[in-house]
Amino acid sequence: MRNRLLKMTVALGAVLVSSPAFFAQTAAPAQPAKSQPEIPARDFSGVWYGPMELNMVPESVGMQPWAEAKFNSEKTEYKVGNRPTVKDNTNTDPILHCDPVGIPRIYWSIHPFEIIQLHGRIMLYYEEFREVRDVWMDGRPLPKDPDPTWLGTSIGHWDGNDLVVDTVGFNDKTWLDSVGHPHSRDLHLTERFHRVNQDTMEVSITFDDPKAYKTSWTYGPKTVKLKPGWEIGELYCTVEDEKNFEKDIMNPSGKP
Amino acid sequence: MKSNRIFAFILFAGLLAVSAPLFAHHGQAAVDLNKKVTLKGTVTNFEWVNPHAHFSIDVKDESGKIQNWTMELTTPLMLQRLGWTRTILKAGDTVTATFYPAKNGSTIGILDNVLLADGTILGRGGSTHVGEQGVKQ
Repeated sequence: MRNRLLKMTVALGAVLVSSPAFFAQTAAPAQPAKSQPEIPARDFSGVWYGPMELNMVPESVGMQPWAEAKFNSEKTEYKVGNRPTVKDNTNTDPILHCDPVGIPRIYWSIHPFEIIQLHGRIMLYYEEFREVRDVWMDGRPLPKDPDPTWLGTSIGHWDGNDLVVDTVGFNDKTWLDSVGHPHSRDLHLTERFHRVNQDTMEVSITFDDPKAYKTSWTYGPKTVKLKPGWEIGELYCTVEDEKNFEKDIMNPSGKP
Repeated sequence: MKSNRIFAFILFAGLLAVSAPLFAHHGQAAVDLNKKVTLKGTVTNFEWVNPHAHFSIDVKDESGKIQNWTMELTTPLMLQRLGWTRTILKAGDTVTATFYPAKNGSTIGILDNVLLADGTILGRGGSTHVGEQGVKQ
């Protein structure tokens, strides 16, 4: 078996070395392969899937006293610092009673999201809880005093080929991340989408919320992959599903 | 030979699946991620539901006593992307489940993978890289 593998390796090496492509690559400057698609300019259409992330706030940022007190009062399964963990329905995570996941937390769930580009508007369509955002690309200014909403009001623009989205007008009910970092109604998020190649982009998120945090900071860039062939499916949060989950799984396995 | 290849492919796909995250909806602090248990049993039900699909198996211990174990999975949408379907498990099927057991001693676990009677191995979506510390490991 080992001899066979060795022979195969030698044969493969011989084929590579004797192929015109091998010499072409070493003798002349590399040409872009014809089959390699160009990076789409100003087109992020498609279904994208990012890594799971739980904590988006570095310790160095520093919370304002009320925000720190709120953070420390939350009960989750995730151990951060000395905060005790819970494993049953005493968990205070708002998504467990079907509040919207909100942004930017929703990027780092286990579910994909789709970018749909329309005339004057880009829609961000997240599979988890089927949340949808409109990013207005028609030149309107960021509103000065919008009504607070779960997902805020988003205005986008192009910076070169990067898509930059500013969002204000959040309510203060969502968590920034799964470990429970709070935010105020003054939160201003700036998301930057940078296309690296055909199937990869990087997402960076800048947080500015002086009422809740001592400094602003940028999380990322995080690599997000295009998933050709994936379609966004139906995933609503329903009270009945959550209650069944508590009864069948969460409480029996999580109660002390 | 062909079936071996198919098996190897499915196993490989299952291993790939393990590296993917599992739960956005809640963590996995209730189970012992340092301990894996493998039990063979008979499927009693398969609930293809949100936020987490789950199935249960009757397992007979050495003394002949039957215990019903429940295996927690991820959402049906993500399971479909890993090759699961809502009919892939049926009551009466014999399966071998490998899982992380609940720390509180209940007969519940988070599935790692399940071996079906035909040799198919289905991954559970993975999650062990997400620890209880609230940071990615």
